[in-house]
Amino acid sequence: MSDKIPNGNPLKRRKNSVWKNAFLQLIHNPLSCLCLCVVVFFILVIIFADVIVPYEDGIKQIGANRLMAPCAEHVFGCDSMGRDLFSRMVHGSRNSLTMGIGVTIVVMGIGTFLGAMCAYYGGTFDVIVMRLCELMLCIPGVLLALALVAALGPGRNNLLIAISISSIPGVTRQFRALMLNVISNDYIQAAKACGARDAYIILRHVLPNVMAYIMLNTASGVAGMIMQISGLSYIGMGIQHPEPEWGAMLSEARNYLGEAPHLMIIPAVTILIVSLSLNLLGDALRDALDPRLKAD
Amino acid sequence: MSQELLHVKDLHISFKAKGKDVRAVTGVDFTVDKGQTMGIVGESGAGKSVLGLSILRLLPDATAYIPQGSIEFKGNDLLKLSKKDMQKVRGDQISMIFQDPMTSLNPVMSVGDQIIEALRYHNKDKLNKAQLEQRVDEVMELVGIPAYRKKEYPHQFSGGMRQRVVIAIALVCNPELLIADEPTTALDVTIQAQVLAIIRDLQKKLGTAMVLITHDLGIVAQMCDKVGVMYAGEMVEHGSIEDIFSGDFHHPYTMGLFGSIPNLETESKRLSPIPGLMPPPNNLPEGCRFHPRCKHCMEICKTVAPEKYYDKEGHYVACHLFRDKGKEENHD
Amino acid sequence: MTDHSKYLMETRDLKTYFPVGQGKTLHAVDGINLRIPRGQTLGVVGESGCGKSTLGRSILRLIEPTDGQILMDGVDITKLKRSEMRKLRTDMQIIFQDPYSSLDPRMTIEDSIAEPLLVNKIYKTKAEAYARVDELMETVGLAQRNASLFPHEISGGLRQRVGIARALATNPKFIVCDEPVSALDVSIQAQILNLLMDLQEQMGLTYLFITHDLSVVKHISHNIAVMYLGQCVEMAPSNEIFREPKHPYTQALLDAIPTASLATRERELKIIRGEVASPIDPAPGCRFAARCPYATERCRTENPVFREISPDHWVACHEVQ
Repeated sequence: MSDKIPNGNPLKRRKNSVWKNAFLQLIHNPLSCLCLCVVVFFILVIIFADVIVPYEDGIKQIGANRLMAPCAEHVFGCDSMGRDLFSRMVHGSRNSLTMGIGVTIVVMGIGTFLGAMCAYYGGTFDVIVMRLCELMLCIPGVLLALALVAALGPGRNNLLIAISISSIPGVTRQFRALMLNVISNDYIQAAKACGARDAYIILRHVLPNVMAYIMLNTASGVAGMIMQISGLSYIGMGIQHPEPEWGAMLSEARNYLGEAPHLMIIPAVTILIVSLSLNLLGDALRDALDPRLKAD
Repeated sequence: MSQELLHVKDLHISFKAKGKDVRAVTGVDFTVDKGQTMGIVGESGAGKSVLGLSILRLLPDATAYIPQGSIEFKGNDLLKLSKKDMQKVRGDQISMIFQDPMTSLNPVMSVGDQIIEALRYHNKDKLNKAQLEQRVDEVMELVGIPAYRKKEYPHQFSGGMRQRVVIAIALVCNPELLIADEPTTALDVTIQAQVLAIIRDLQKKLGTAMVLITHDLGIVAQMCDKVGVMYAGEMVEHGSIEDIFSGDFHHPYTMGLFGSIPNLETESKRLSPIPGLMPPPNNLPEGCRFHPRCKHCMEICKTVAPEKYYDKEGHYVACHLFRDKGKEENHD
Repeated sequence: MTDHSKYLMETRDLKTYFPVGQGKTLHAVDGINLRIPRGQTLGVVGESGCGKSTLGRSILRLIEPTDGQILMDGVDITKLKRSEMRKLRTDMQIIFQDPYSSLDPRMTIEDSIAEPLLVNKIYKTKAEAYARVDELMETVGLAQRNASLFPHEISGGLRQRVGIARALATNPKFIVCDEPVSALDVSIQAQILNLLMDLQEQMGLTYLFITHDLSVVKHISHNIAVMYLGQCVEMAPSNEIFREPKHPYTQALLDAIPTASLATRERELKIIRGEVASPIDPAPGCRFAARCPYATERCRTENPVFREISPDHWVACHEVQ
């Protein structure tokens, strides 16, 4: 109150944001750095797919190239219809990855919102939403998605809607439980006691404290979504032939495992690398976002 | 000295953490005679629980080790016993009561079965099933639980009742020594009074000696015959209950503890707490460990660890203030 | 009927019930009448489960009371709308028991203290708000170097100081202290008690001090209210209640404290039998009757009235004259 405290420049002290610190810590760890590079690499592939290789190469069927092994001209070889596998992989990433990531983000977003509403307000709304979720969880996810696609008709958008709806209940329940745990802490009461609005409390206290888990869930969810999309595409309910899609390619390759194993290995290894990187990145992000695990 | 039951001699306990040694307890000496109650007071992190666990050798083998000292129970060094022999001692001759009655009972076993379990391990008298059951009934009556409740499970008991079950388990084999680590901290005052009264009655009846670990000077005053005050892994003062609660020969930390508790009898305007915090065991200061918080701190305190200065048989203070007043190590 | 200039906080027949399923109701707070004079401390003591924490939170409307009135400065806050209540919150604050869960683990110390200032837009710029944070940290004895640390990096005692600084930020008149020292070691406990008393003297604060520790409550309180199973059984100036406890439960509670002196060592502790009953749909009559050594037939059927037996000394017991 009397004289100014030394080194008390308040603006100077407040530079470091949590996200910036988290990023720096992420970069510091070689493994998570590698994972980040892999993810960035695939994002670049999605964006510049047309520059890398023309789309037509993956559609054109050349009988002579049937089941061709990798060579200089066709780096990944050709599939059972003589189409260039490299082009199909590159352009397939657009379908598989963007849809996988997109659906996951939508699901996590809606799940977080519903979970937060249920956990924070409770009451009748909570009861109704939770019972609905339980009802939907009684039906196996794939079956539910299948039924929805059948009802809506095949096609990319309907596929996305179907998969989203079938995954939201599980995610909502899980996030609600996490958030209930956070809400039981006294700092939520303290914020209420100082006159904070509900929206402020949810955004400033509840979400940041579950954000790490949401990130982890999102990252590991993408791999599962890719597989779901692939499964539905394979039975003709999703991406329509001849558009390339990793999961569908994988299923197709099954028949030629003996003659042309590369048809199976390449998409499989790619999916493995992507999902592994995303999982590890999610883990690393969770740790990096937690100030309690900060390495000093 | 024929009565002596437990003799802890120059005991050191360390933990290995991240390649470094953390010294949790250093150079603790005390004895407990038959039927006597030794109180160990201190704040959290002073090493009192570690000391209690070490007597039963319940410290984790992977991280904890005892570089120096001995724990003699009826003349045998417990630290030299084989694992098997130690198991025979545990629960039979020495048993333990833990702080939290909620977690120290198995929730899926009826309380009667849990008491029998302890008894069956050490079935010295080769009791048959009916006799075992009868012994359980006896013990439950002893701690004030009606015997018909033995078929019930821990969640059907309140906190105070659960702690009685824990006491029953500890006493079922008639041990000679009981180690009680904050036995009433989790309980309400009126329930605490009930539990303390039971412990005191049983001690009188069975002649059990006890090491009572607590942070509450009130409990020490009511229950103990002698007291050790622990600070940062050392016993800074040791003496009979009268030495500690009356008399004017005290370690500054003991004085600080008394100054920190509001007195119910007298009207006091302000408390006189000890400034600062207890140092963590991995970052102990040079010299006397209390010197950064001590208001009597002298130059010598910052560099030289004080010896134990005795003013009479059995009462010492580890503080440079008493260099001249006390006689050094005079008892043989 | 009450002189508002003398009492800052008053509750009239305050009740907080919780439904516990199967049509049953938990009577956590069941008809509490309290009065706290300005600038003084009312200590609320009772054993776990007696509803003292619920009382503290109900008074701040952090838990909505079921029935009754809460008069803050003469205004019945139970009638206020949410938005009006939010404005009034700067005047009434709370300090929590558990210094671990009362601070957001992802916010730095200074951000936690700044929160009430920013939420209520008390200062125009962030810089002004953080200058006030520095001031508050000095007031409660927190060193500047702690400002940008996270809660897990500091000790329990310091965390409790952060909680106090946050409560003081908006210059409140009334603070509910919910067991603020129970989780701390004795030497740290004394530091915090001294701090709270100094702050009261400097700022003229009024405290509702909830605790289970009778020696602490005597030290800090001007008046003491004893709670048993959701009801207040006795309220009196703190010296008087320790000198002449009237209610049998108060007497039992005082007898049960182990005192840190040898004088009382050989005294046989007067121990009350039994344990606290369940607060779910309690039977009519005095709640303490089942454990009370003096209970009569009347005690088991008729609920005693909370009445003033001598100036400022209130008791709810049929047997006390």
